[in-house]
Amino acid sequence: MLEIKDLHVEVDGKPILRGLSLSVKAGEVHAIMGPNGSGKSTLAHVLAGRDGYQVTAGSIRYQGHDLLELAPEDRAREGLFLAFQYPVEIPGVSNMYFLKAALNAKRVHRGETEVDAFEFLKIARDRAKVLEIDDSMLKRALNEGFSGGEKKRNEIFQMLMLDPLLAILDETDSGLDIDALQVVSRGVNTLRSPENAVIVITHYQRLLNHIVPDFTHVLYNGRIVKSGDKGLALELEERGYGWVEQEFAA
Amino acid sequence: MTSDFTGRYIDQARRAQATSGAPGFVASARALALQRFEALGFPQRRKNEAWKYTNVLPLVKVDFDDDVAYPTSDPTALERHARGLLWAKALVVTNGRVDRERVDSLKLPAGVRLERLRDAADAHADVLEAALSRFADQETNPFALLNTAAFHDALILRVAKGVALDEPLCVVHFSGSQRDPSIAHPRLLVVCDESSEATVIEAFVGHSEAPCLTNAVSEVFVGANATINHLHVQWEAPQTAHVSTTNAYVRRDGRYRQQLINLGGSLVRNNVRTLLQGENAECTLNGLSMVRGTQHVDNQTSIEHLVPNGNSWQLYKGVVSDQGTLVFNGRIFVEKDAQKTDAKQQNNNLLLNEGTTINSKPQLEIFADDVKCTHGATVGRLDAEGLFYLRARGIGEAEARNMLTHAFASEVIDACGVDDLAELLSETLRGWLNEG
Ligand SMILES: Nc1ncnc2c1ncn2[C@@H]1O[C@H](COP(=O)(O)OP(=O)(O)O)[C@@H](O)[C@H]1O
Ligand SMILES: [Mg+2]
Repeated sequence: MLEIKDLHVEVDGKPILRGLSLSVKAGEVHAIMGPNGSGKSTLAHVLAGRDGYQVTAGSIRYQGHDLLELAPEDRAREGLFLAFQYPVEIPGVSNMYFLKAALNAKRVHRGETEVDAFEFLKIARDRAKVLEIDDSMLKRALNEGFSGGEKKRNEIFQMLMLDPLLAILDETDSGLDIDALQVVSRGVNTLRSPENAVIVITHYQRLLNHIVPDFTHVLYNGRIVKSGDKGLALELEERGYGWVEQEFAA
Repeated sequence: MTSDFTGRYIDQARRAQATSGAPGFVASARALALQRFEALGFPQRRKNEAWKYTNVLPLVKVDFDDDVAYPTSDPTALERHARGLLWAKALVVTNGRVDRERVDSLKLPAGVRLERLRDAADAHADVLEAALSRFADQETNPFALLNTAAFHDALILRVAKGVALDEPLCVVHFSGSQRDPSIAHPRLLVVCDESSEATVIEAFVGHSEAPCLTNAVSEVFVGANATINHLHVQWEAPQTAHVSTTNAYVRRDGRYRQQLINLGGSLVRNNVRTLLQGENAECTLNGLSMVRGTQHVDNQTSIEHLVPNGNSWQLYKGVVSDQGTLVFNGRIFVEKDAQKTDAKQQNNNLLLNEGTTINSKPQLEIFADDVKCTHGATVGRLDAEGLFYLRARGIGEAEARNMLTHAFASEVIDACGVDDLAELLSETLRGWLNEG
């Protein structure tokens, strides 16, 4: 589904990712862990198509496309979803209006008919229940004045509405209490299927108790320096990132 | 020099007055207005500070005819020309003219009268003294004087004491011409007696194959404790210039609220003046200007706090793209004994590309010492983070930009005070954005 080869990315001439390779197949859950500043969000942003990153070498193939050739909206319509580490507040645009536009953009792209307000509401209510989201949140302006936890929950809600093939969660767990963590995990686990893949970016192991990964990777200094199974996450939790830094210091 | 251009307008005004069918006191007020227009001439940019950013000379040079029939009277065509602004309970005015039957056929509740000046001047002599005679004597804007001298059908709306109009009254002014340049002088007088309530929508629309000039004047008298919601929605044809003058006079405890929305036209100049004449009077002047292509929109507002304890709020927003120009000059005048005045002014602008022009200026003239007066202005661009967030969800770039622009503009629309209207205006705005 996703094949990243030897990816080099710079921001304003400063190298951030330095030869990152990663292969994700349908049905898999990958965890990417790493200390702050190692390049996790950079990877997520490059995958989603954000401006300001220069890819100086390497390639990304996604579902048979050269991902880097696609506009952000086309990536999303092709089933790629990024749950933002810092979701953006957009005053004046209602959550519902926004999501309906997003859902319909994807449906039109796939040659499906648009959903009307009534159908949309039905789907939205159904998904909101999974995440214990109140209806009133749909009417509010997108993320405006939402608490940290509400924003994260809203990201996962959007994910369930858009039903992506490849979901990338960038530190969705940070700032969540244990209850919220469980609710969010339930949401992600709802999505898991043989057709879908998930990349869980996290700093801590605890999320991985709920969303159990098939593979765990350690990102350090812009490279994946170690890969393993879910056991690697536990090892990191126990030993901290210090040993990674010692072992792989540039 | 200017006299070269005024001659034509003066002749037209004389003819309009000769056929006005109005009693003597109206005729003399209009003759005075004409005299003063003649003396002032059209405003010149270099000599007149208030017109510094707007050059009207190329406009007034055009050989406008004031007796041109609007291209159509077919209801479906009018509906189309009105771009969604031909709302329920609407009176259609074409090139400043309105049929008596159209006026009479509006079903208005008891206590509400809507008439043409030519049919009912004597009945309204009491208010016409202020609305015409004093106006002709004191108004300094040449366009407003020209309107007074040259209008065809002035409309008078009166709401009696204690009466509340439950539905908005909508006057739709169509300007346009099939072939020859045409000018219209729409005139509306709204008089709301003590403790009455009304929402009045004026929509300025039209379709034209030739250059047009709409030169509108609206005067609103807000009685003690009366509440008036006044919407001025301008979506004229691309060849039409729009000059408007709105004066509101607010008595004690009265509330005047105006939403000025500019969507169309070529050269647009709005003068909005509110006089808070009684204690505890308040006004809200909100504006939204959507400017694109080579449109030039100049909004001049003046709020005059003449007595103590007045409140005024002002939110003017502008969205400017292409090579558009937007001017805002917001005057707040506080008389020496108008203590405890509370005035707030905010002007926020969104530029959608390079190459636009913005001039924003607060003009504070405060002569009382115990007042609160705040003002602020911003000029910004669409938020790149927000844009990416929307696109990352599959929303196309153009739609994402429209969504954020709509969100910026809706603040004004949502503040219009009437939910149904806010929804209609919101749709109107979407229509505007989708046309771009
Ligand atoms: N827009 C940017 N401008 C400058 N430096 C950046 C930018 N984005 C990321 N960086 C730098 O890139 C490195 C990786 O950041 P990031 O990908 O956010 O790490 P992580 O998500 O793993 O904490 C950091 O050193 C950070 O300072
Ligand atoms: Mg990060």
